[in-house]
Amino acid sequence: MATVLTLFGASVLVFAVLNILPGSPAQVILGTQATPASVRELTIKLGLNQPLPLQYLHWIGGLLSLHLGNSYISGQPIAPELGAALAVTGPLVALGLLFGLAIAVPTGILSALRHRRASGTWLAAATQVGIAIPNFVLGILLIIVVAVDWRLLPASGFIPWSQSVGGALRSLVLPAISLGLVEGAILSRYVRTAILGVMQADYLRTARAKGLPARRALVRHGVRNASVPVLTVLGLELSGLIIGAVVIEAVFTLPGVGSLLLSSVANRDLITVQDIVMLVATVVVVTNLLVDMLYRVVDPRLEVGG
Amino acid sequence: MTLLRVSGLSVDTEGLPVLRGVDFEVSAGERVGLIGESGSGKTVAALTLMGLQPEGFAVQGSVEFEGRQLVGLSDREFSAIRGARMAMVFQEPMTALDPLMRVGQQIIDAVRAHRRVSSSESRRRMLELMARVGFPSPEEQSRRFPHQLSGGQRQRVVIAIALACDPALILADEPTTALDVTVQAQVLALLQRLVAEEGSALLLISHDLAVVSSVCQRVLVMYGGTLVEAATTDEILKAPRHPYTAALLQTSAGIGARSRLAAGRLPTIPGSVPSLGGFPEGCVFRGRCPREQARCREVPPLVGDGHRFACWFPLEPGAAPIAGTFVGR
Repeated sequence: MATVLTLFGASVLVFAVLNILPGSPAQVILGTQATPASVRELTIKLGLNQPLPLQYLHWIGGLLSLHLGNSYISGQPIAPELGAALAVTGPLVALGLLFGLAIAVPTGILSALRHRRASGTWLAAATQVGIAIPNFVLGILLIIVVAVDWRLLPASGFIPWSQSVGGALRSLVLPAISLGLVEGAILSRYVRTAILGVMQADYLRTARAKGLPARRALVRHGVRNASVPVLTVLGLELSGLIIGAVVIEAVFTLPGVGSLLLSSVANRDLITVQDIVMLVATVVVVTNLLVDMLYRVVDPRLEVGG
Repeated sequence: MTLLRVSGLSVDTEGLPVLRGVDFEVSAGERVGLIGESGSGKTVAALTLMGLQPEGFAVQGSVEFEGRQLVGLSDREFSAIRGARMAMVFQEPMTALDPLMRVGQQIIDAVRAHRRVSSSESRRRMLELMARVGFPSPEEQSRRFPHQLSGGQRQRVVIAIALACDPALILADEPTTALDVTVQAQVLALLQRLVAEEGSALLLISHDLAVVSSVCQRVLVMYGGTLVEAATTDEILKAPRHPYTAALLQTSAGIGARSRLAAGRLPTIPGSVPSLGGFPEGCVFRGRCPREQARCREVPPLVGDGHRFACWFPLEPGAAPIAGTFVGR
């Protein structure tokens, strides 16, 4: 219920903000040479002369019945274009998350276990550096070293999945690393804190008093207890990943959702922008809903429906 | 038969002494109380015996348990003893159990930590343990999570974990302090009954002389990381020799304090326990002691046969506890 309300609020906000923007889309589409009559005609054709609430209802009704509308610019339906962009961005974000987790979990655990030793401090310092590097700088560095100097992976562009799955994956590797490394470094700090918290917990001492060796006690009780706070951050980090994807797609010239969003904004293609922002909002809200549901599975203290 | 022999046990952290040269023994099946104010080092003593002292605590001296030297054992070697031969009941039942794991499973873990038994066998043992610590319907209650149990019930689970592998020695660190007064007596009685049935020895750590004297045959009094007096419960209650013990007795409500309470004054020991590293040279009780003299600048040894005490100017045996001296100003 709260999820539906949140999405409703988001849709109103998105619609309102984009319609406050000055300038008529019809004027932009037709260019500066257009006659007032033709601008008026196009405005009526696009339905932009209707009252805003009616425009909103028209738009949201379309979304609910999965009609995303037609682009103001090309006049083509938005859905297939957005679908193609999603086929790039979806895997990119997923790979980035996977890569981030693959970095965060081992380094986080290791730096927690060695927090009193120099190696742990070095690890923690390294993750700090990871946090400090902007993802686009890392992306450019990777392009220079891995793609240009070593010629291992493509520097930019995207080979569609339909042509070559391997080629598509290859073009996503560097972007995913640039995206995932920073998120991984941030996540690593949270994993470290969570594990340190568990290490000081009384129940871990109880487990060791039972006769479980330190490492086994930590695995038995630590993984699950530490996953609760990490899960929270993971849900929040996802929106960070999506924002990061917009930048990374620009660096690697990937035809993803971020690129589509940027070009739509530049073209004043308001309806496409609205659709994309709503899509992203839905993904974030639904993810947080999933995280909430996952909590209840992990932590019995949160009663279902509570 | 001596089960546990602690000699010269010292624990330091960052150069500050937490325990200094503690000596005592516990015989098989014996119930011994370890008493002291908070900050006296009694919890560190118990954790050190279990090899669970916090990181950065340096241990010196000797802990001989069942003929085996425990100081210097690796974590893996110690793990074979913990829970199997020596078990611990913790102070905070609220946090001592994993909140995300069913209590039955936590008991099963304790059984399986040392016994290679089938899962149905360890389950049977778990249900038996839960019944023994007083759960009327173990089958159903073993599926509960800790937050679904009361404080007393949680402490019963912790006790069941401690009993899982029939240890020879149970260390109970303030096992009733965090519980409601009405539940305290029940849990204490349960602990006492189970220890007697199992024939295990019990080292009961408490700040509460009444709790210790109702359960234990012998009492160790700790102050500032040292033992200041060790004797049978009777001797401690009737004829304390160390001024600190005498003061503790007077402040202990129900033992010596009622008349004073009636007079409208709560007995206290003047001053407070110094912080770590703030203890005086010589006798640790110096500065708070009414009998202090010049010689107290030297450390008094723990002397005596049977009834041992560390004081240059002990109270006369059989003399009435020093009246008035310790009443707060």
